[in-house]
Amino acid sequence: MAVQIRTNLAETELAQFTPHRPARPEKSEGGRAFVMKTEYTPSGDQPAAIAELVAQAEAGERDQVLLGVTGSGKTFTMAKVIEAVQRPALILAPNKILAAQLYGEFKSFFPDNAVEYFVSYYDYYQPEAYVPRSDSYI
Amino acid sequence: MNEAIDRMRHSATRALLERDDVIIVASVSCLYGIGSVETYSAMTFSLKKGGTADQKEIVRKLVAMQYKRGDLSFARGNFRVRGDSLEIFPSHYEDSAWRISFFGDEVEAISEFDPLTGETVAKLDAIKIYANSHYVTPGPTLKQASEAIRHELNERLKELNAEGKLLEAQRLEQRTNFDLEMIAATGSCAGIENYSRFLTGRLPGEPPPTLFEYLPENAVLFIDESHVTVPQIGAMAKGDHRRKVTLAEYGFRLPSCIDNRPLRFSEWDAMRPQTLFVSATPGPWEMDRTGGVFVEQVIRPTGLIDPPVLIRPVEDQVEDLIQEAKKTAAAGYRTLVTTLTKRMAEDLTEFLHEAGLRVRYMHSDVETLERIELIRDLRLGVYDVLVGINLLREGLDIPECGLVAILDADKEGFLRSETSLIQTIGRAARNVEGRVILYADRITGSMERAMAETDRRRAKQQEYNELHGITPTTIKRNIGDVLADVSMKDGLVVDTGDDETQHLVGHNLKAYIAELEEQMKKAAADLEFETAAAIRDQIRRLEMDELGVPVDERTAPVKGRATGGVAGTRTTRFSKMQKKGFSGKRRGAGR
Repeated sequence: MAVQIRTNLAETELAQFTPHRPARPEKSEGGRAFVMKTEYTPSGDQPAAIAELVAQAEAGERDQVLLGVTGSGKTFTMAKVIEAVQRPALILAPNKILAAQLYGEFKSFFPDNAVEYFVSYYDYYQPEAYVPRSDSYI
Repeated sequence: MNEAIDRMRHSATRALLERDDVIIVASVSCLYGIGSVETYSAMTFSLKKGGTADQKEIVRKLVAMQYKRGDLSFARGNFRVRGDSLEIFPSHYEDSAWRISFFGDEVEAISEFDPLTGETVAKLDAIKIYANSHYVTPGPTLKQASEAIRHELNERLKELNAEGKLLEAQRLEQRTNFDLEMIAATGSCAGIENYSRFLTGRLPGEPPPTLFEYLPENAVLFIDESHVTVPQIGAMAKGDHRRKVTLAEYGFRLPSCIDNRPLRFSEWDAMRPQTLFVSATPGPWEMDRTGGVFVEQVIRPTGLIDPPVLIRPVEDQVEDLIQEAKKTAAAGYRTLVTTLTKRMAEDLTEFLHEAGLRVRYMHSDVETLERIELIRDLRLGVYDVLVGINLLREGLDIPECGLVAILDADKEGFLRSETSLIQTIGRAARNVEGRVILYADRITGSMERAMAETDRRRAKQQEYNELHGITPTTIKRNIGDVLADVSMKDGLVVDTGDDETQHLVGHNLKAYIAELEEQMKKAAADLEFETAAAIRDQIRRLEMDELGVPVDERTAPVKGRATGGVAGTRTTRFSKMQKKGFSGKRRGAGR
């Protein structure tokens, strides 16, 4: 099948968007369980929050909100939820600093599991751009 | 491009395809395209101990997978052939490589070794090698893509020529042909992501593959600080289109570069797996998703309660801040100050510096990695006060923070909204003695709501503490080095033997060295060579010291690594830190 070319510059809205779900090959190092290593046990509001979040997640609730005040151990709660549901997780942070901080914390919670860090290549984002008015290409 | 980040990205995608126990921490930039899962997972090969394999064939495969042959400089993403053995430095490893020993066509042994020392670390039974680029593409697809690119180029050139845009046509033809030649020769080119639609064979308008396509179906998505992250996801695609159209219009890129874009919000929404939004102040969108239902976590395990909030007049805010910051520093804690503008942050830093405080600034123009170092140094106590704008909000974890000062708190707006205020106040909630001072002449609606929410939480927390007899304790947390590099790990401890200048480390060392150099030259010019030599030795010691050959731990002050945000400097978007003003005398950036 030949690749279709683009003939205009307009933002094309697809009539219907179906997420692409490609097949993946067999995993060669699969089957390992999440094991959380910590000396802390949930306390305060945490046990109730964890139980509720896990129950809803397992019941198939698509969206949940956790309102956690600063320092209430939101990261710990997230880690406990991951440990309870035993499913791979993607954690989105609004910027690199917070991503780095979360990465450090999750790495210490799950030393034997694959905790990975995925941010933009560039130290600060400077995309290719052209400013016609001043004829400058960055 | 940052080497460490590139390695971690490879490690992340590989882990997703190979393991079940994966946690990926990502920033919203993961909405941008990367190579497709199909080609990335197809362009791999496995080797088993005792199996048969042709070494030449493996070398060919490695080259197709964007590994480079590097017989002398053996670095990540390289391979080399040493007689009967083949050594590969896989793209996801930082400091270990694989050695495959052949006996004729048989794989005799596979081992993991340290590329620096050559020492074998482990014997392996099987390995699987992934490509050195996410945009790696199998040969036939590449050929098909090249044809399509050429076809689109011809069509576009006709169009541009018909419009009389000769310059643009010329520019586009030159660039695209160059890229095509590069693709034909090496399988890749600079900015190959702009051709991603040809490589993946998708329709115009379809989003490129992203990290979300690598995620298994049963994954859980956590959105941290969702009140900021969710709007950011929506904003990603919006600015992108205009910029790409300009590039295409003026002949810098083919029209198809438009399809190399971040996911749109609706696409992300359709693609995301089961999601958990986490925030201290959840936003309207996610609350709407759950119909206003949320799980609350107000009680802290440490028993810490939300900090008391004081209101002081704006008039004497800077004077008052100096007093309070000094008091806080004397108590051994740090102070966070938020201003309204970058310029004000920089100027205030200089002013506080002159008032005798150890202070730095941090804003969006300070480089990301530098910001991490700044926070680390703040925590270590290299300096006591950090001035910022809104970087000092969500999730920034500084248990040592004893005071949060919000200047001009009554200037209602984005930076002083209810959400912003609650978030900023939260920075002082990690410490028993944490306090917050709002400098304001009147109480705005946002302030009122933020304080009411803080009070509600405080009441709930106090009640819980009384009920359970809990005494709050400050969180103790290690100051982890996320991006620690080798030189920091195995430094040799050497005493400078330079007692008088020791305290300059982390301060004005560069300026001091410059001064010493002047003295040395002067001494040499005066033919006092012995003095000059003594000064030279002193400079060397100081420089060695600064380079990371550390001072004896018992006597040295805490040494900072951050170099940005220094008092008396400005940092702008496109340039490094500059010294303020126009004084002729050159002074080092300081440390």
